[in-house]
This record gives sequence, structure tokens and C-alpha cells, in this order.
Amino acid sequence: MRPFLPALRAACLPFVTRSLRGPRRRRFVLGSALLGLFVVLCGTWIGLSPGELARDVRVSLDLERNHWDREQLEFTIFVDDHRELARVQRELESSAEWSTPRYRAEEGWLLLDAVASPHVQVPARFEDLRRRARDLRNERIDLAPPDLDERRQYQHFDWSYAHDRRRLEAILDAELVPRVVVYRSPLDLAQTIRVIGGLAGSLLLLLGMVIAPLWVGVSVAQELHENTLQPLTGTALTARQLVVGLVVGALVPVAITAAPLVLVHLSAAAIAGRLVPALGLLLMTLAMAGMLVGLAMLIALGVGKRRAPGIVGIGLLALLGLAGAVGLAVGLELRSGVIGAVTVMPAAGPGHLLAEAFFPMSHLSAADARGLDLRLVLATVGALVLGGLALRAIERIVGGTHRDGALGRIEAAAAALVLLVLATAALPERNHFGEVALASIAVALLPLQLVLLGRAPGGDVPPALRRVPVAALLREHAVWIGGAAALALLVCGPPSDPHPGAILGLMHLAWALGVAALVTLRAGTLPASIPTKVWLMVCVGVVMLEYGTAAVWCLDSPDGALLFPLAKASPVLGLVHVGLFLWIPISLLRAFVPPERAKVDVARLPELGE
Amino acid sequence: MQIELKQLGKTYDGEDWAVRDLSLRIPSGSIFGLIGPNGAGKSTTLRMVATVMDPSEGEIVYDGRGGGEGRSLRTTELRRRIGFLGDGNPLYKQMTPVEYLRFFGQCFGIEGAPLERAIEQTLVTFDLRGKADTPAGSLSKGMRQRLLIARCLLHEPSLLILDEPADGLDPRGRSDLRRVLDRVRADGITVIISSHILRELDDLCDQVAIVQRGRLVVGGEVADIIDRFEVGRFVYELRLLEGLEAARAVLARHRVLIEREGESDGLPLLAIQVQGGEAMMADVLADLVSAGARVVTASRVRSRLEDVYDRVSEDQVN
Repeated sequence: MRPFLPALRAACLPFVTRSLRGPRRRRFVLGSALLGLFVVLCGTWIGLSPGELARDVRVSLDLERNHWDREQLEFTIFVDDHRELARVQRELESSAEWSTPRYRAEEGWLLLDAVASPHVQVPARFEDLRRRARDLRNERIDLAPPDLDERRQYQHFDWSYAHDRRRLEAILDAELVPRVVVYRSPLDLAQTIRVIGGLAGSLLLLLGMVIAPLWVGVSVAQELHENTLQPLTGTALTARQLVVGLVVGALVPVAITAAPLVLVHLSAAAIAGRLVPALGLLLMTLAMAGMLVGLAMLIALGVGKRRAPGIVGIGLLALLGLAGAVGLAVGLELRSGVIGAVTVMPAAGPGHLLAEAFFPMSHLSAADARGLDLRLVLATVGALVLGGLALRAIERIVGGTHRDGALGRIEAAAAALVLLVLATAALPERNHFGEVALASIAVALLPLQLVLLGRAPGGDVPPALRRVPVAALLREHAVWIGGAAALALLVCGPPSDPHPGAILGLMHLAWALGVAALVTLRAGTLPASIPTKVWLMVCVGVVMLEYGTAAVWCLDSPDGALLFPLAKASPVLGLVHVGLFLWIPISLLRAFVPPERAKVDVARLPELGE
Repeated sequence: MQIELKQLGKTYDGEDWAVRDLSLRIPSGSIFGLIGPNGAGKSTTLRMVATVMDPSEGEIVYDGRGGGEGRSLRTTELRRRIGFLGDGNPLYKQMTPVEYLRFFGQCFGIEGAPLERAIEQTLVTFDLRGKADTPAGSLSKGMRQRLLIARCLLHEPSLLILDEPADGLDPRGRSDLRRVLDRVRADGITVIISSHILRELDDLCDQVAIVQRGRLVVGGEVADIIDRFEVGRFVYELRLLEGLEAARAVLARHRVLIEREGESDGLPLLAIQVQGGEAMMADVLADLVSAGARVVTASRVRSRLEDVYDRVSEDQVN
């Protein structure tokens, strides 16, 4: 075996040189430096600028309260500059019938009026506040508006609401004379540095979760589509080196772009004293990006020959963009009850760490925080394992040595186990075996189908000539599903209230999982015409229906529920359901039976030369 | 490099064989032609020899060293001794010839000054110096093909494998290719070349093998094969200015078979099959002139290898 580092260098050098050829290196370096500068300037602007747009950005990022809210809460009038300040102060001193300060004072008076109302029950501890409110109201009766009765209807005050009490205190402290101040950002320099770090971290997340896998996927799809991968397989590089080179070569521009962002991100985190979550964010983003790069490459290898790289890119962008956006949204405001999302949404964990690093919120209990940390570690390790296995599969596909499957039996079992552990960890706390088992299988079912495809024969065998060992693959699939049950047993213990109806539920479950596996193998290994694809979609629909039926029969002991639920709508539909239940597995299995082909008798070819 | 194929076989589904029981011995420094119709198993064979595909059975031995039954010898050392141009090899359109050669040179483990020297020398050898910084997408097809072959030879292999290298080339491109191969032969590199255009191969190759449906039909030195199949017929096209009837009479007297009569550029055209070699054709031409037939052009249109192929094959080839 060649030493690791020279082999790695040999793998990377051609592809890195290719990526940075000509003026590209200079352009990438310049571009990334500009991006780093832009992040610092943009973060500073967001953090410190008193401008309206910057203020709106701060409000939308929850860095600052809404302008109107602040004015209400602080009994303040914000003005943009000193000229406006002088104008409003003149208004304040004048006795004009209508002016902004007068209107605010009237609003304050109305609030005092509502608080002082004898119909409102006041908690004893706030009696003093109420007394002060009543005194001030009576003292400034001149502020009572002419349309008092009408405006009273819109006043509301809730003593149990801290926001209302704070507003009242501000009015009382100001003695109904609103403060007039020139608006400034409420963020100080330390908070601005956090904004800069958060901005750099967000861009790193974008690069890792979307751009990097997208770039690699499109590069591989392009190599396949233009048939430029084939000459590379005949060079002195091994298949593993080739895969590493393709990945590294495609990622070099991304890495150059990310370098100044990493520097800004870590510097900001160090200044803010949040280096640990910031480093965690980088580590987890790298692990998740590795897994997503593997997934993108597998997709590109699967469809790159038939679809143009642009189409592959659009598909990947939609997939990665959606997954990234949803994951980030969940991760940034991770609440108790959804902490498991970090194990199944690649962007959720890094998103949470980004929030922890720069905008920490203490909204989780200690137990939840411990559970979350455990899940973050699980998700990172899981992503590393899955990414490694994906690259192993890709190596075999690129090298053309996946005749018996891109994944070995043990590798596939390891991947399935990791997926099931992650799926189980994603579930909210539950105590029932059945619920945990069914939910974890449902969550992991789609990625398990990818693993199953990894076990299907590929290689240089044309799809029409493939022999798929269906029975053996279904057995493996069943073992993985058994693993989900074992995990549920481990987490929840044995089922506490088994009932006879569960046997029927298990029958439906076995049917659904078996047919799902058959659909996967049929779609992934054999050629399919358009009618076949439509039929496979019908099969998927029935699988979902059967899974739902299985859940109903396994978890409940349903009274009056039908074994074939479509029969509830009409007897004819019930018959159709029974027919599909019987015919779908038969139709799928028939596709794997090799057709009778006229065999070429090579012995009868002319032997003139021999 | 001397290559030996020992009962090589490749099946994709365990039932039908793309290549079966193929045994060949390719001497070091020779140009070996692999001939056969589309789907005969040429590309499969070449891919196995290039170690990018494992055989299903049999073994390929390179200078006495093989990977074992049913396995390609996929070592870095061997790959560095092989230059392989597969079927339909594309280029990176945005890369210049220099960048392209540098990329592949590094893929073969050449770096730094030796690589730059090799690139420079290769560009000169393949007459691409003037286009060194032109994107490959802007090169002519012949230039692109030269660049592809240059890429295969950059790392100085001792075995060059070319799968249908003349496919899609115009006459000038083919002539360029022939010159390149003559140069390669002079360097003592073993060349395996596949084609279904036999005229390109008969006076270029030292040895040929004709394969059909994955099996060797006939193989050996070109002259031996022609002798073995007693191919003494040549096909010519004659364009006459006048004296068509006289020409027919002369041809009948010499027992020359007229394969086809037609017209070319407004002149009568006769495609004739002459039994008995080029001396016989010289006699026929002399008699045609004596009989008053005014022959404008007399050109050979088929090689003798094609005749051998016609004799042994079931399929039509170009």
C-alpha cells in the first residue's frame, strides 16, 4: 500500500491544479478576500448603523425590538437627527392641540386611565403601581382626549403581562412627558462583533450545506455527461484517488472562499468568548458537508449520464436548498420537543450551534440541553460514518468494481444501523415500543432504500442484463428492519399491552416494507418504461396506505376498523385494494425473472482461421 | 511491452459473452490491429487490456506478469506503462492543450520540470505548439484527436491502446494519425488499435486479429493471413473518357469481374475486381489503352484485408 500522504498528494495535485489553472487562483483568492471584507463591513453596518434599512434588518433578525414597540415600552419618541430632535422638542414645549408628543402623552394618559379603572382586579403586589397611576391620571386630567369614551374601548392592560407593567412604569417614571431621543442602534461593539461572527458562520453554513455538495455533484455529473471520467479511470490513479481528487478539486474554490470566513468566524467567537460552540459549528458543518457531498455524488453518478449537468444542478439545489433552509430555521430556534431534529436534518445541528455561538438563548432545560448535546455528537459521528461509506460506494462505482453492489454486506448493515439510531434519536420522548419502532422505521425508510440500492448489483453489466438477487437482498432488508425493532426494545422495553390485532398490523407492515424494497430494486436496477414508472408510483401510494393501516392495527385495537380500509369508502374500492395487495408483489417479482433470450451459439461461428 | 491474452472472456450477465476464449500474443514493438464489426467485442477487449475492466475469465499477461485468472493487473506501475484512448474520448473544452496535458501528466505522477519538458516536447511532436493556449473546444477535430493521442503518449508508455482512433476524422486527420502511428512505431512502442475501417490498417499493422461476436476468427501477420486465404483479388475504379465498349471487351478477355457500372463527374465509371495482383492490373491497363479506351483515373478502392474479412465474416463492414 502506498504511504497515505504521498498517495493523497498524488490524488489531489492534478485536480487542484486543474481547478486553479490560469487566472482562476487569483480570482478565487481575490473574491474570497472581498467576501471576507464584505462580511465584516456588512456585520458592522447591521450592528451599528442607525439607518432605517439596518434597523429593519436588526428587527428581522430579532436583534432589536420593533421601532413602535420600543417607543411604547420606553415611552420615548425616536427621531432621526438633531434637527428633528429640536423640532419635536419645540412641539413638546408648545401647547399646540395636536403634536406627536401630545398624542403620546394622551396615549400614556389613556393607559393610566385603564389601569386606574375600579373594575380591574389588581394583584396585591402591584397595588402601589396602581396608586401611582391613579394619582398621575388625576393630576394630568388635561391630557384626557375629547373622544375619551371611544378611545377607552381600545385600551387594554394585563397585570400579569410583564410587557404591560414595564410600559406602565416607563410612563409613570416619565410623568407623562415622553422622552425625545435621537435614534441609535441598541447594539454595542461586542454585540456587533457577534453579528459579524454570525454572518460569517451563516455563510459557512451555506457553503457547507448547499454550495459544496452542489458544486461537487455538478462537477461529477459534468464529467459523466461529457464522458471525461472514463479517460481518468485509465490513468495511474486508483479509483479511491480519483474520487478523492474529484472531491478535493471541486472543493478547492469553496475552501478558498471559506478561508477568510473561518478566520472572521473564529475571531468573533473568541472575542465573544464562545469559541467552543463556534468550533463545534465548524466540525459539525464539515461532517454534514462530507455526508451531503457523498449524497450529491451518488445522485450525480446515478443520473449524470442521462441528465444534463444543469438539470442535475437544479435538482440538487432544490433538494439541498430546501433541506438547508428548513434545517437552519429549526436549528436556530431549537425548542424542547424538537431537539431530535438535529439527527435527521443536516443543517439543524450547525444552525443551533451558530445560534449558541453568537446569539445564545437559554430556553432549554438542563435535561434537554444534555439530550441535545448527545444528539449533536450522534449526528456528527453518524454523518462521518455515512459520508465515509458513501465515498466507499462511490469509489467502487467509479472504479467499476461494484458488480456485487457498491456497498459490502457489513458496510450496508453499518449504514442501516447508523440511520436507525439517528432516526430513533430524532423521535420525541416516547415510552411505547410500537410507536418508537414504527416511527423510527418511517423516518429511516427512505435513506434505507438508498442503502438497499447500494447492495444491488451494478458495475459494467448493462441494466437490461442484470440479475438481481432479490431474495437475498430482501433478507438483508428484513434484518435492518429487525434492527429498528431491537433499538426500540432497547429504548422502551418490550410492548406493555400487546393485542391480537397487532398480528394483522404486522402483516400489513411486512407487506409495506417488502413492497417498498421491491419498488426500490425495480426502479433502481432495471430499465423502466413510462407505464412502469407510473405503476411504481401507484405501488408507492399503496405502500403508504398499507403503512398507515399497519400503524393503526399495531398501535390500537381498532373496533370496526377494516383490514382493507378502502372498503370503508365503497365495496368496489375494497376489492380494488385487495387486488392491489395481491397483485403488486407478484408484478414486481415478475420483473426480476430474466426473459427467455435466444442464446448465441458461439461454437457454431466459423473457425476458418483456426 | 509484450502482451498475451490467455483464453480471455467477458460476460455481463453470466450467459451471453461479449468476449470468449480469446487468446492472442502481441509481440513487443508491433502494431496490432483488432478488426471486427460494431459489437464484436473490440472495445471490451481493449478495456480489459487497458486494465479498466476485469475479465470474467482468462488472464492478460504483460511482459510475463499477470493479475491472475479473472482479474486485471490494476497496479499504478502498469498503468504508467499504458496509454489508453477509449472509444469516443472527449476533451475538456475549456482547457488549453497545455493545461490538458499537464492535468493528465499529473494523473500519471509526473510533476515539475520533467512534466513541463514532456509537455513542450509532446506539443512539438504532435504539431500543436501553435495552439498550445487555445481552448480545446476551438481546435479542429484532427487537432483534438492528435491532442488525445498526445495525452496517451505524454508519460512515455510502452503500450498504446487506441480504440477506433480514426472514427469521425476527415482524410487529412487520418493521414495525420497514420504519421503519428509511424512515429510511435519508430519509438518501439507496442500499439493495439481497433477499427472497422480496414483500409487504415492493412499496410499499417504488423499483425491483425479479426473478431466476431467476441471470438477470434483469424489472427496473425497480415501477409500470412492474406496468403492463407489466397486473396489475390483487387478492386479498382476506372473512369473513362471514351471507349467504354472496348474497355468491356478487354476486361472480359482478362476475366475481370465488373462489380458495378455507374457514373462519376459525368464520366462512365467501372468498379472491377482483378484476380491476380497488381501486375495483372498493369497488364489490363496497358491493353485498355491499346484498345482505344481512354482511362482518366484508375484507383484501388478496397484493401486485400477487406477481402479476407469478406471471406471470413458474416457481417458487412466499411
